[in-house]
Amino acid sequence: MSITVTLAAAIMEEVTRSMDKVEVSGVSTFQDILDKLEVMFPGFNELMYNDNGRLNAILDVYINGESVYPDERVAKVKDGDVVSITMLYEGG
Amino acid sequence: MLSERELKKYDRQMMIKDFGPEGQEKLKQAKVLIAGAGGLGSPISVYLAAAGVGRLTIVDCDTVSISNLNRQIMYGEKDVDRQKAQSAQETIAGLNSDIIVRGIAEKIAEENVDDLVGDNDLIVDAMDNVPTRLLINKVAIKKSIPVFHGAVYGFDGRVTTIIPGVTPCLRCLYPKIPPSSKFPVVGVAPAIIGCIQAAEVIKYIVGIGELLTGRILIYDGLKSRFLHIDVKRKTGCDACGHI
Ligand SMILES: [Zn+2]
Repeated sequence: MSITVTLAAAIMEEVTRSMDKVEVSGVSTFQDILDKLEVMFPGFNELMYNDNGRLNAILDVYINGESVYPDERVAKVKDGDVVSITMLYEGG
Repeated sequence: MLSERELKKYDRQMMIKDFGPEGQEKLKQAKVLIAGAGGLGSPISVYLAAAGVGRLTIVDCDTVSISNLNRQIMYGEKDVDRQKAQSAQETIAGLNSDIIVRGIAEKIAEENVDDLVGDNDLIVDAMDNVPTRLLINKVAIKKSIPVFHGAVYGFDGRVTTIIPGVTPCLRCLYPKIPPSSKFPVVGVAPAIIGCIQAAEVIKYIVGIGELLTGRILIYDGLKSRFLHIDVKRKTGCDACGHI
């Protein structure tokens, strides 16, 4: 079993080499997922965070469909969960 | 009742299974508020008018600028510096004289949003900023009417259909307000997203098909891909948590 992470944010495409789904395992928090993603895609965390160490204001994280703002980093994950990182578009 | 001319005009869409004259009559009776007459508002207004939605109210406080013309297809060069609401009303009225269209040149704000929404059956969210989108969300929850949401960035966009109390509301999906900035966009992105919003509205009114409820459809234009994310209401949402 593993956790499916959907990467649905245009700003990440360069570092994620346009992959939109990855599987990770052996993690228990969203921060653990980020650590894994940084290994897979060097430069990933730089996009995820702003200078004060908070999650980039244009990104939102859903675990099993529910936004986990503002406690993304410590949010718990378990095998079988679906995690999505999306961009909050404002434009019309 | 549909006139002879309307029956002819809408013949091809009434052929769709479970649509028929009954569906067309529902469209004719529908009152729709389109919040924003920009990149999304343009195709939404055009296609809802063409489909025969009986009453369209289009709200936008801006004037047309030359930099709008790459995507805001309700306007042409002759409309630069004109009120979008006025120009949109003329364009849409010219497309379909069997419907009633009204352009309102007002800024949607806390003080007027309730009146602007009025007795409309639903709201199409075609705004260009999150704070106003959230205002619309609040009134939609209060009046218990759906919001058809779309937003774009570059070649990309996202779209979802909100039924208050059933699906996540817009606040569940925008728990924080992203910093406002001049965003990149090519006209085809709001065209695609706006058309999906319009399709959702038509299906909702006619009562056919499946809606984008409880899921966000994300369009990645550069990769020509659509992605779905199933979404849930946010625990303790400050906008819809009480219903
Ligand atoms: Zn909510």
